[in-house]
Parts: sequence; C-alpha cells; structure tokens
Amino acid sequence: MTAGTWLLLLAVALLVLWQLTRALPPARAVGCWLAGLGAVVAGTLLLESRAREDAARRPDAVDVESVSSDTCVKCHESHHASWHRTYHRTMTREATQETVKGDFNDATYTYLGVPTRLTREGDRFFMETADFMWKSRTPPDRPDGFDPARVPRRRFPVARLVGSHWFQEYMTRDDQGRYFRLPVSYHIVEKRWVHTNGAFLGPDTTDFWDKSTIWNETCVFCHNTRVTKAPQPPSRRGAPPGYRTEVAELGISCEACHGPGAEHVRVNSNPARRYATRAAGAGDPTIVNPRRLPVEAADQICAHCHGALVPRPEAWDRRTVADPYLAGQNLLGSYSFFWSEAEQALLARGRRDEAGKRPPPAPDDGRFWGDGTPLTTAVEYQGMALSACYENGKGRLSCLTCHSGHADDPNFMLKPNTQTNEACYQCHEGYRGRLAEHTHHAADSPGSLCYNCHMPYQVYSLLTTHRSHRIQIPRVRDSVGTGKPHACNLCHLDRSLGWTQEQLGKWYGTPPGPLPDEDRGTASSVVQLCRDDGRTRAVVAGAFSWPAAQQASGRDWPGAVLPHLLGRETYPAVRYLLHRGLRSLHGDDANPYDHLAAPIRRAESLKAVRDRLAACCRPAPARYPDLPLTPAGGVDEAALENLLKRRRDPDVSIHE
Amino acid sequence: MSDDLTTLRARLARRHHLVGWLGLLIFLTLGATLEALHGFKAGFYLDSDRKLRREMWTLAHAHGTLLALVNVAFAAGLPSLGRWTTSRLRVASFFLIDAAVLMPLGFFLGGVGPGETDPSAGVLLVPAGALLLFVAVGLTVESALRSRE
Repeated sequence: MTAGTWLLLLAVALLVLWQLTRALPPARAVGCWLAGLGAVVAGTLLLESRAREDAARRPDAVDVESVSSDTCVKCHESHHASWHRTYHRTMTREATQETVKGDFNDATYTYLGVPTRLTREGDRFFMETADFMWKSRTPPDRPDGFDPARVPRRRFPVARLVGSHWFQEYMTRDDQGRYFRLPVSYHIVEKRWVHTNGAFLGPDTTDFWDKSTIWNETCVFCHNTRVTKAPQPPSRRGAPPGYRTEVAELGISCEACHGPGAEHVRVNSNPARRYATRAAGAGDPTIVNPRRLPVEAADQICAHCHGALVPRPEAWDRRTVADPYLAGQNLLGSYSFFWSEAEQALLARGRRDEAGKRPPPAPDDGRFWGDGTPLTTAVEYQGMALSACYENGKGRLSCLTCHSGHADDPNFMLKPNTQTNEACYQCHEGYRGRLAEHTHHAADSPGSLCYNCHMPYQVYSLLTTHRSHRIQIPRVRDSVGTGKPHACNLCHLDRSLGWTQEQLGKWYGTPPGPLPDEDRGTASSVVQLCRDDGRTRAVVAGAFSWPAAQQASGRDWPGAVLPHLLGRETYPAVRYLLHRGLRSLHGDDANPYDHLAAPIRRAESLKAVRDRLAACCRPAPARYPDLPLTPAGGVDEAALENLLKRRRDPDVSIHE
Repeated sequence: MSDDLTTLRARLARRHHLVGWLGLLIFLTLGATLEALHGFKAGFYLDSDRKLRREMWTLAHAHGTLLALVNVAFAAGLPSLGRWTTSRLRVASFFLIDAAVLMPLGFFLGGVGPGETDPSAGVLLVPAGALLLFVAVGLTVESALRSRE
C-alpha cells in the first residue's frame, strides 16, 4: 500500500472517530479511539499481507480456466472497445448476417468453367459448387471433352468464416466435426469473389480443391484463443477421423495475450483486493500484462502466432492436442522456432540434432528468402529477432515498441506516431537533424522515411505486399542469389541492381560485389519479373502500385512493359499484382482483365489492354537507360525473351 | 424544552442554512463547469477512456447538490420540528454536514486519476460519508417519531 493511500484512509478514520467521540463522555470516547485506531492498523496489515501474498504468486500458478471477452468488458470497457475494433477479434466467427462480407445474393462466380453459386436463406448462407475433392484434370479451355455441366455438384452450408480484413474465407462443417475451407473466397479489398487457387501464391493449377484444408488441423491454433484440437477416432469403419475442437473464444481475444482470466475475475470481485493490488503498484499476478513482462517474454506472446513454430511433442497431450502455451510462459517450452522450411521438416520428424545446424532456406522455401529474411506474414517475430536492433531480446526493441493490441489503427495495430520516423527516433534520435545527409534524399520524400530502406515491402501474403520486420541495412549482397528484391529497386523500379550498387558505393563507401550480367545493366524489376521465381515476382509486381515507386520510377513505362510480362505470367497472384499496378497507373484503360479467367479469355482481354496502353505509353529510352526499350519507345521484346529464357521457376507456394 | 437545546437548535439551524446554500453555490458551479467541459468537448472529461471520470464527477455534482438541499431543509425544520436531545442533535448535525462534504468530495477525488476498472482511492470517502449520512438520517427519523408521542 502506498503512503498516500494509507494516509488518506487514516485521515478518514480519524475524522469519523473525531466526530463520533465529540458527543460522547470522555471514558467512552477513549474506548472508541482505541478501537478505531486498532481497526485501522488491523485493516492496513490485512491489506498489506494480501498484496504480498498475491505478489508472490507466479504467473504459471494461475488457474487455467478461461472466461470470454464478454466477462472482461464488465471492468475493462475501454480496452475491450479498442480490441473490439481490431481484426484480431474478427479473425474467426460464426457465419451470420452481421459477419458475412461476401455477396451471397444469388451471385455466381465461375472458375475453371465451374460455376459456384452463392445464395442465402434468411440467416443461412450456402455455396453450391463442385463436390468435395473433385479434381478437374482437364482445363476447360481445352477442346478434349471436358464438360463443366457434368461436374458433380453439392450445396454446402457455410458454418464459419475466417478473416475480415483482406479476405474472407468460408468453412463448412461435416458430421465428423471437421471444418473444410470452401474453394471460393471473398476478396474484400476488390469486393469480388476469387477462387482460392488465385488467392494464395502458387502456380496455375487445374485442381479445383487444390487449396482445400481442414480448419481443425492447422488454422485453428493461430486464429482462435486457447485451442483444444481434440481429434476423434473414426465413428465407423472407413469413416475419416473427426474432431471435437474447442476454443475459449473464436478469434484472437483477450486471453490470447493476457492468459486465462477466470482466477483474475474471481479474486478481483473483491474491491478491497483491487485497491490493495493497485496501491501495491506491482501489477496483478493473476493476469498477464505484456507491458510488465521482460521483452523476450512479451514478444513470445506475439511470436506464438507471428512466428514460425513447430510444436515440441513432449509438451503436448497427444489425446487432447490442447495448445499448452499460455501468455507469459516460456514459448520455447512447447514450441521450437524454425528459420527455414528445411529446419521445420527436420524438427517435425524429431531430428533435433540436424535441425540445430540451421539448414539455410532452400530456393523454393515458402517462408524465408535465401538470406534468412522472412518473406511472408505471420513470421514477423523472426524478422525482428534477426535485426541488429533487437539485440536478442535484451535491448529496448520489442513488438510493443511500435505495436499495441489496443492501438487506434486497426490495420497494422501501430501506436500513435509510429507510422513516421518517430518510431525509429525512439532509439536513433541522432538522425533527426541530419536525415537528408544520411539518406541522400529530400528530408520530406519517401526516400527519407526510415521504413522504406530498412523495412521495405519485401514480404508477400494475401495478394499484397507488406513491410519486412527485419530491420536491416540494405546491402546489395543480400539480394544476390537470395530471391529477395533490393529495397532501393523496389522504389527505383526502372534502375538496375548495378546502379544501386554504384549509388551505395558512392554514398556509403560500400565495396562492390560480383553481380550476374543481367543485373548490372537491366532494370532489376524487369529482370526479376522475367527470371526469378514466383515469390520474387509477387513482391516486385506488388511494388508497381506503390505511389512512392511510381513517383521515383516514372509512370509511363510500366504500361508498355508489364502487359508483355502479364501474358507470360504463370502465377495468378502475380498476374493480379501486375494488373493492380497497371490499374493504379492507367485506371479503366487497364480493364477489363481477370487474373483467374481461362487462358483464352485472359489473352483476349490482355490484347485489348495492351493496344490501349500502347497508345498512351511511349517511354523515352534516354530517360530510362536500364529499361529494355527500343529507340521508338516500344518494348525490346527480344531482350525480354532473353531474360524469360533464364527463368528459374520451381513451383513455389507461400504458406500464408 | 430547555434553553440550552433551544439555543443549540437555533445555532445549528443557522449553520445548516449556511452550509446548505454554500454547498448549492459550490455544486451548481461544479455543474456549470461540467456543462462547459461538454460544451468545449474537453478530452480529459469526454474521451471514451474517461468514462469513469465523467461518471464520478457527475455523481459528485448530483450528491453535492442533493445534500446541500437536505441541509437547507434540515435548517428550515430544526427550530420547531423533531424531539431532540442535545447529544443526538449534535451527532446528527455533525454527521449531516460531514456527509455533505465527504460524499461529493469522495466522488470528485475518485474521478481524479482513476484506473480503468475502479475510481482512485479517494472514492473511499464515499462509503464513510454514506455511513455518517445513514446515522444522521436515522437520528432525524427517530426525533421525528418521538415528536408524535
């Protein structure tokens, strides 16, 4: 108890005693004073002992019983309100009129020639499409007998949905308790239906259910709070195994970050306890406040879902498969981090000794670039942990330096001021006065925003690009042979990696390194869109709709070059991003084009787009020395073909 | 009725009269201030995370005004109504004035630097004041009942 609180209580007690005893005879007054003061001392000692007892309790001694956010709101109204605005809350929900964002008003979406009908009956939503696991082996634009009308169809009731920010995916439940992701999702950003084959990064496929997953198996752990997977044996011979999956709450709610709350609610129903805890000033040990934890433990709460993890089998109950991790505990007690998918495979097979050697990411790694930098979302923790600023969790930097689960910004959950250089000035104050001197860009230009060089858009997921969380000096050597586009060339799309190397050498004295021939003189964006794999192409394609890149690179040449590359692109997601870039530059002149339409339809619409853009886009070759342009301002198709022949195109898919 | 009690009644009536009107002045001023905070959209009073402060200060205004009126009413009836003894009248009078100070003050202090879940510790004055008010009202009721005998 603080001295202030104690003095206040004492003053109140003295006042009451004084008033009471004024009207009493002296003998009774003395008795009253003694009894009153005794009560004050006893009360103080009792509150102190309760506070000491609570403070001595360890967080992992907390009862693991959960409550829901409906209970938390009764006391924590403002924190509940700020969480309520987040996409954390709406990550997984039951399908209702309020939660469904897709157009279910008898809409039809056709992919691979198979029409999917989206309908509703009152509060119930249905997706009628190709039956479970039906695979269309024959693309519908081939004249070899494929008949979409003969595809077996089924009407799936929509039970639950995942996502509310970029995409909304729909799940149907079978009688074994399994929730299947249905093959058509709603792209909230574009307000249109898309097939999941085009929503996730992967090459064109004719497998209608290629991206089918069972929610209970994987998605459930990060998209909900306190999960018990509860696999069940088959109900009958030949039937698939089922689930009785339980979650404390759908979506990411209070207890995901603050730990189970039942004990906290129970003890804090006593007001004296609340005031004693507050007066003690050491926090409430019955609940986790990430801000009061050491940096490493606080960041592990985020890493539980924003880190690449493999469960440690010895920590898990094989029967219930309940996630043993509670916020505030040591995450490494129940999971191991992996830093490449090769390491993930070894850990999953129990080969810890080999995994300990940290095999580097393979060229088709779906989570990490060749230099170890994460290339997709939900691995942000590893990005930060690889940063020199992080100092292995022993420094000042943590997830909570920039983010808050209760921030006003629901998009990226950034704290106020952290969208600007103020975020970095928290530690690097010295750059405030000499920004332009350091960046060699105007102080008020995108080139002087710390994020653009040190946390560039090198991460792909959800049909867009995101900032890398590896805070890094942009060295050219980290982008040679690793697949990772260079920060400078994600803005200066018209310049080569050789040009970047020269500039960095001039400005910062960085010694030049060896570069492949094509990287020396040809615009890095064009080289990578022709030559590199789908992961790199996606990130580079995403940069074309970034206003800062358009300003730095010129707006007249992508309309000439990109349609050629769009016609040769085999990844629907990359086609979407290239077309998004064209739309952002040329509006309706770049329409119509559907990245998921049949190849014949795409070719027809692309030809029309190319013709329209050819009329307006005649870039001057002298202005763009690194671009493959003819003297007349057209595209040097032979040069592009030359680059396309060198394409390294392993089938890659990003595990978003 | 003894002269002492008559004198005491008159003296305490003047005191309650003064306390009541003074209280009304203070708490009407507080009410006008709260209105002004609404008018000027003062963030420290109106922001969504200041709900507890708003509630506490509104309660301070309401309780202060009401208890001031109770004091005025007590002063008006004291010279002629109720059957009192000197000691009971003193206790009732002291407690009524204390309650009129402690309860609104407790609510007001409760709204200064409140936590998210609870008002600040100043709110502990409220139950103390409520206890005193309860005793004062009880004694007044008793005096009123005895005056019928």
